[in-house]
Amino acid sequence: MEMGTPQIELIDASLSYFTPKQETEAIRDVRLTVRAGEFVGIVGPSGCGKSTLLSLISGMLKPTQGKVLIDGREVLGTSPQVGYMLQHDHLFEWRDVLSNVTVGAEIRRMDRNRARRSAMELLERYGLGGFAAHSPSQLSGGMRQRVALIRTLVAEPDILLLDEPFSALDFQTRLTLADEVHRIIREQGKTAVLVTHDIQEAIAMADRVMVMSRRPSTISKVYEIRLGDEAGEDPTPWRKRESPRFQAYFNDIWRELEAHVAKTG
Amino acid sequence: MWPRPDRGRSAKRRNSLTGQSSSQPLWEAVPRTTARIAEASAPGTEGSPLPSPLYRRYLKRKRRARLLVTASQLALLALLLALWEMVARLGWVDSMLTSSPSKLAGSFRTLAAEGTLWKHTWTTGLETIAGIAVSMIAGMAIAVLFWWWTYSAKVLEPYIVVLNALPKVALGPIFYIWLGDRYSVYGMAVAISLIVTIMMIESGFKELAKTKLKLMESFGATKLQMLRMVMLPASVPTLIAALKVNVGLTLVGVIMGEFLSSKAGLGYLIIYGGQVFQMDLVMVSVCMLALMSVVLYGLVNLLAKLLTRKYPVDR
Repeated sequence: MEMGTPQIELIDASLSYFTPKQETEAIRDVRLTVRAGEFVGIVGPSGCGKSTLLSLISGMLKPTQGKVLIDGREVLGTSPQVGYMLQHDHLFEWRDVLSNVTVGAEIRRMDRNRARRSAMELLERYGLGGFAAHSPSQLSGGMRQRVALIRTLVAEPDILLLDEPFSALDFQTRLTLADEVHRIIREQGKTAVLVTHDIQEAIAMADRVMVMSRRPSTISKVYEIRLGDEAGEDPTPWRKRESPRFQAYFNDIWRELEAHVAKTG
Repeated sequence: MWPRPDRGRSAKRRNSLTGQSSSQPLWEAVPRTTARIAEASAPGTEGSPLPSPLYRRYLKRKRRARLLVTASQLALLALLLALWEMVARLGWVDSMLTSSPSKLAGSFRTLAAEGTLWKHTWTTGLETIAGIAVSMIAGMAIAVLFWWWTYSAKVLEPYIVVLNALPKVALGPIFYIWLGDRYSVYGMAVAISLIVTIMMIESGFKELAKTKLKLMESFGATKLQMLRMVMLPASVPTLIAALKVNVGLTLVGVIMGEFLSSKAGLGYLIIYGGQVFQMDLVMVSVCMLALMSVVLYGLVNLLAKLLTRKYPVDR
């Protein structure tokens, strides 16, 4: 897929959850386009349907109205093209690290040897080579989450959906892991959608940050983040946090978010 | 109530940095994180050749405390037996009613020599193990069915509730008429343990469905894959808990079944001894039953340990 062509498109997508007691309109008329190779961050007040948005893109939920397209084709179910990284790593304690990262490949019935090879390669490359035979309980939270990311990558998706992947980690690990994940995604040339409630994280990692309103949510504003050097180089999230313009973005987005929170009290 | 299985305590602390290449220009953060892990996983005296005197004293004190408990337990048993023997001998109580340890030992020898005791113990043991196997396998199959086909769980829910609330002993005569004196024991055993087994395994499945299955779903896993790759391995702790409950309940069922109808087994021996007013026979059978349940629990604990080592689950 060529860089820059639209890869994910939501066309007036709405979704309501139905329970016997009530219907809840989670998101309404969301229109959004993510280009191939782009990193998009989505922030919003808690419970605004950010995760719902990812579930729609992943095909785990179908929109009640509107359409979700990937590479111009309508999404009808989960697809090998999309990798979903959840908030919790969900590693299987009864498998070692290597057979954990090949879970996705196993489910998708990909070639076993090839999956193991690419898994080993990724583990080596991202500093977990020596832990392939370890059990997940021997790893720290940050390492576990990195294993979870590699598990997603081994299944060879073009698109990565990240659902608050750092929220269960301590602050220090969060910052270093954000750098790592950012680098991995860039290196692998993936398209990524990050959902988070941490505005700074979104600004530091994403090329564009979208702010969602309260339920029923829509995308209320989009910010192009330009914190790159003059040379056009892509700095790490860490460096971006140090940029003087970082704070300006933060203030803008904060105000935008606050407006939504204030509206409904 | 159950001794908690020791989940691979030894395996957990085997962390090392071997094979971890330090030449990583990509990532400065990695060695930092891993170093922290290695540090965290080598606590205490592991690795250092000599434990400190304080630590040795601590270990010694622990060992002594443990010994004291064991010694007291044995002493208590001896005391109770001696007391029992004494009151019977001195005629403070009627030994027709209470029997006595020496009489028990005597009738144990006679019964053992005749082979009657072994035959009846064997019968009861076999019935119990078969009952446990049937309830576990059927319970698991039904729980899987309920998970796989939620509709069936919804339809059958009130029936399960009623069956669970019903005192299964009331079904005794029905089992006797339908299954005959031999198989009605199995009927009773399974009736008593099956429903609880289903309910325990099912609730374990439900708990799992909320967590790890979402991951499986995101990879587009089929139900069979979910069952094989997650539900069964992750349910091992639930299965072990169910098995432990099952041992107790199945024993109740088997003895109850033997009381009601059987011509063999320890339950039969107890009832028979009561009817002919032979307290020695009753008590020997009860002791044998106690011994057998201890052995069964021991076996289950052993199995639990092996399984937990193979399928560790942190929750």
